[in-house]
Amino acid sequence: MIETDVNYIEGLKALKNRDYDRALGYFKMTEKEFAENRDLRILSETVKLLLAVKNDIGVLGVTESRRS
Amino acid sequence: MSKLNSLLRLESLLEDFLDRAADVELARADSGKSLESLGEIARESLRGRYIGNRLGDWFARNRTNLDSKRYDPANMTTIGNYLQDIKTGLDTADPESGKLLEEIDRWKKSGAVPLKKITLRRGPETDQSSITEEFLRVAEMESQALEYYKDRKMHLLTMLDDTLKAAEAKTDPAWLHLAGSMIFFLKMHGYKVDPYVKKLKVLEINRRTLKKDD
Repeated sequence: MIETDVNYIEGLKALKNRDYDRALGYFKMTEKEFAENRDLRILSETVKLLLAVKNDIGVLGVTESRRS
Repeated sequence: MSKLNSLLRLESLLEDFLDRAADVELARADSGKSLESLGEIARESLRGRYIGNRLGDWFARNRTNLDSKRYDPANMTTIGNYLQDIKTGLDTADPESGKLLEEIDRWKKSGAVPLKKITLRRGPETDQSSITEEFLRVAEMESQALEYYKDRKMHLLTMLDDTLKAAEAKTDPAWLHLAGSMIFFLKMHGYKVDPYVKKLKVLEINRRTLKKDD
């Protein structure tokens, strides 16, 4: 059961702490055993998307602050 | 809206989604753990071990989960099945067990109802003689075992202990049958047989499991 996987739980706790890099690291470890789990994939892909968005915000933020 | 604003809005939405999803999943993990621990208690109970304190603690820890309806229907059925297993092993005459039985009933009323087991009934025997022959073989073997016990002037309770040990070590179902017969006789004469019944039940389950694995 994925609900009892230690790495999964640690990943969820990291999400609650808004530590997304750390959460993704734990989810990747969980994927070794639960690669087919739909909930895990949704969470994992959402974290990746969020990190990409944060990265874009960083880039855009720097560009816009240079413009102004 | 600028691209930056759109991204900031998306960031906030994703963070909110992940926060809520983590809450739901952590609650589910908590239910999973509590089910696992109840399953362990049920298995211990079927092995004939004392589980009173652990079951009491489990009820205390999980009462709020029941009241706040945190368990889904599938979880409630699993809990019902475990509690049913535990219930059969509790001594109804013991006051402490009485309290636990009351709590089990409370959970049952709240929806922790065990799934009804489907029993497949065997059709008529095609070979009528085989079951009779098997019974006679078992009776013959039991008779020899009883002769052995009689020669050693053993008390029936000591015989039962020895028979249960033999049933555990050997694959012949005759030992289980003999133990069952002794337990029934002791019960008829007012002896407290609950621990022996539990032990017999565990041995029977183990035998079935081994048979299935073959």
